[in-house]
Amino acid sequence: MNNNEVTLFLIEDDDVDAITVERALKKRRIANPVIRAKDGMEALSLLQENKVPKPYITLLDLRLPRMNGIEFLDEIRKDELLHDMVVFVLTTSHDERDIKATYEHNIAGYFIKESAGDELLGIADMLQGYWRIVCLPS
Amino acid sequence: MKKAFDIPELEIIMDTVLDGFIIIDDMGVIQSFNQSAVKAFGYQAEEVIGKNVSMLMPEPYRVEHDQYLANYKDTGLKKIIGIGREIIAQRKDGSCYPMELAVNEMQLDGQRYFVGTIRDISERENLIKELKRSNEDLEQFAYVASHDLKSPLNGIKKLVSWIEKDHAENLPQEAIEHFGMIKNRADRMTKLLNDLLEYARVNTKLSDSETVDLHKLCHHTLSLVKNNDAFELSVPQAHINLSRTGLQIVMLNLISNVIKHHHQSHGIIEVDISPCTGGYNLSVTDDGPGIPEQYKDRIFEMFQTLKSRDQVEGSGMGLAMVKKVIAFYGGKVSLDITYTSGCRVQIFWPSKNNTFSMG
Repeated sequence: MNNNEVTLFLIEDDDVDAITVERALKKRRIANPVIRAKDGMEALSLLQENKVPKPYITLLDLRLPRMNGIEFLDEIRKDELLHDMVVFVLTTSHDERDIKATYEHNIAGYFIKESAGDELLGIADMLQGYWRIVCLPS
Repeated sequence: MKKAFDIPELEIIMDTVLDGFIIIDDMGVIQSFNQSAVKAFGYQAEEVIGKNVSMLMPEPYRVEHDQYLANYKDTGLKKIIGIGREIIAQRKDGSCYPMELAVNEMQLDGQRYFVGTIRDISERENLIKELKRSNEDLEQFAYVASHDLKSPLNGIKKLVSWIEKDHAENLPQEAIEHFGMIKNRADRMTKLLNDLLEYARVNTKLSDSETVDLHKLCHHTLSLVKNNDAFELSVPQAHINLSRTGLQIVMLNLISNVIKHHHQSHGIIEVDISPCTGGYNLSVTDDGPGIPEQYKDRIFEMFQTLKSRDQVEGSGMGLAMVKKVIAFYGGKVSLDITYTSGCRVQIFWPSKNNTFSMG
């Protein structure tokens, strides 16, 4: 599998945060395609309409309009086609309850925006290392 | 059998008393029950006289009451007599409410009786509950507000820094300066929000009393403050019994204020402490510009600064925080207006166990 083809599916309502992720990827010379949804509802319909090419991994914000991150996790985990999605959470929330609830939905990792550095370079570094060696379901 | 307190005149007087009045014998049997007690419990006097007073309380007080009486008879140990306390009472309809009970003992015709005075405090308790809830609401509001306000602010800071990074060479000097000012304002607002957040949440961080090495704590605190090099700190080598986290927050704010507001780049800070009735007297004195008397109250309010924030960066929350922490422990903080060679903040800090040892 050529991991350059792994798509990053970004679910993030804040434009500045979305640009921050894109800039971080660019700075680390990560050229993988990025597809963005602005809330859980939009993400779900993009997935159901097969608009996110496999393989992909998901970077999910928790505070979202219409359908928030945890509700989105609820939906995909009970969906026959989407239940095996690899989802990382990227949020401003330090709340223990969010951390617990999302891991109970089998997320691959929980990242707090502040700890990922001002420019989220920590996230780009993490993704770069992860993509280099990970095997994903195709 | 007619008892001495069954005189009609006495009954009339007792019925005019606003507090509930219940007389029991040393077996707990109700002998007298005035009108206010009738109102409070919903029982008529005839329904309760001759019955055990424990019928007016829910479990577990019911069982406990019989034990109290038995205990008192055997040992003479007073748990409530002459003291009074808050207990839960049960009305005829089964509903319960908090009341204040005061009990006294009397001897009459060689018999021992207990006189209970009761006062319904459910309204007071409800008010306290309501007040607690609204305080919690306020703290929650401050927390959520400052948390949510930070996120667009971070967005602004990022956008400005991207413009600077991506287009620095194309920007006129004035635009670069103005971007600098935007970033400075954004940082200031972040600081305001962080301090507000901290202020709203401080009570949750405050610890109980423990033995604290004051000298060590103050010097450690000084080392955390920016531009501390030329400031001399003198603190007695005392071990005291206070909340460590509370003292740290107070000292950090007071010491950093001294350094931030000093008219010179060097100075002297003197911390002094002595035990007093019910706690400690603590003072922090500096050789800075001092604070005019007219501001002695305002400086302890939220978001108050005596200089423009462009001159001295500060949220104006420091002394408000000091006041909140000390108020949490029931203490007092004020500016010593008699001290004129700088600024002296004096604190009374309660401590049940105000130990004091030097060395």
